[in-house]
Amino acid sequence: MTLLADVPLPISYNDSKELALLFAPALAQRLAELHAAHGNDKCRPVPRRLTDGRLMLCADVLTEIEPGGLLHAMWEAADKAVLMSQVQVIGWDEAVALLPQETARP
Amino acid sequence: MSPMSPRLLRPRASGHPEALSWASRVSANGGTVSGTTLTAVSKFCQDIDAAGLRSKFYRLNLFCGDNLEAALVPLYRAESSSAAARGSTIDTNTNFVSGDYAATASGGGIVGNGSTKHLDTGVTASSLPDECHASIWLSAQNGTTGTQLYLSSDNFNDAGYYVFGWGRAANAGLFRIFSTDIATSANVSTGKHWMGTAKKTGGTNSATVYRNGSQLQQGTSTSMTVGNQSLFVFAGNRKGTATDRTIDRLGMYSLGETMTAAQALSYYTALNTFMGAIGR
Repeated sequence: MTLLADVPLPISYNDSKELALLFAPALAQRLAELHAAHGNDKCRPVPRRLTDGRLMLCADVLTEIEPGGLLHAMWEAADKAVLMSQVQVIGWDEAVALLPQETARP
Repeated sequence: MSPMSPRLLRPRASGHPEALSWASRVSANGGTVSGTTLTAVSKFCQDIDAAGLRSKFYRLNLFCGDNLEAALVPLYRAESSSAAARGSTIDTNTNFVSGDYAATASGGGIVGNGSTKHLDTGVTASSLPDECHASIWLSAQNGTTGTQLYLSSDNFNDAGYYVFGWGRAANAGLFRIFSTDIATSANVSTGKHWMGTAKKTGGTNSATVYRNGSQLQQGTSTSMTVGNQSLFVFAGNRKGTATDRTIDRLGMYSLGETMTAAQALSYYTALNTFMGAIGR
């Protein structure tokens, strides 16, 4: 299993688009708390729920954690040890396949 | 000899007042704008004024500037510079990152990923006038399958549901008006500016589709009570949930009052001039 700790940072936009970050609902709640405290409408990282209950973000959010990035303040306030050990990293196509089917038009 | 007036030494910002206002709001949002882009935005504002179109726009974002922070700031937020602003201060961004924005590459604008990203205009479908318009600029179509929404809101699964906005079904452009989708007779890639005008009261030929300023086709819809969901960009807003996110790249969007055929052409001409001026 690849974890966030295994991903060399900083990561390029093109490389990050090929990856997805997966995590449990408890971590998603912490993400929302961090955004409420340190984020704004310029970038709201809102994960999607997969069919297995895990939450997912495109890994390109990692391109915004460096100084000057839209998510830098949130990143600085986050518990890195928790993120590195609890966020799983998989391929983007693999994650997309786990998204629920959208309701078809009537 | 009297000292030189300091006013002579202070450079004056030149350009259309609404372009300068936009640039100031871009700066407040952490964005930057080049002189070339500001000049082009100013010219666009002048062209819109000269064509008598300014009052047609409740909201318009040209997705331009040096970075994503600039591109999130709409140029127009109401039907005049003095009218009460409509919608969000900026297009509220869910999951787009800086790399998703290109000033000129790939046609310029912001690109979706079909899965996680959208913007919220904060403008509700119900706040649009009874005779209204919605338009987008398609910079690049990045796929040919599935239904993808560009600028839309709806309340599917409610009795008497409504839909409003733009998207594509596979290749065909899709203007969604109230109870009806108008699937255009032409592939969405055959045009850049796609605009639909519609009457909330419905009726025969109550909706018109324009491609690059020219009327493409008309459609008929039934009268519909339009809901108060805000219009999302790069997805549809289905009662608060983003759906059918697009993987395509958009260069702008607008919402507001309806236009005549002559006005639609003038609008497209001004947009096309702007896009060329900034290298798109």
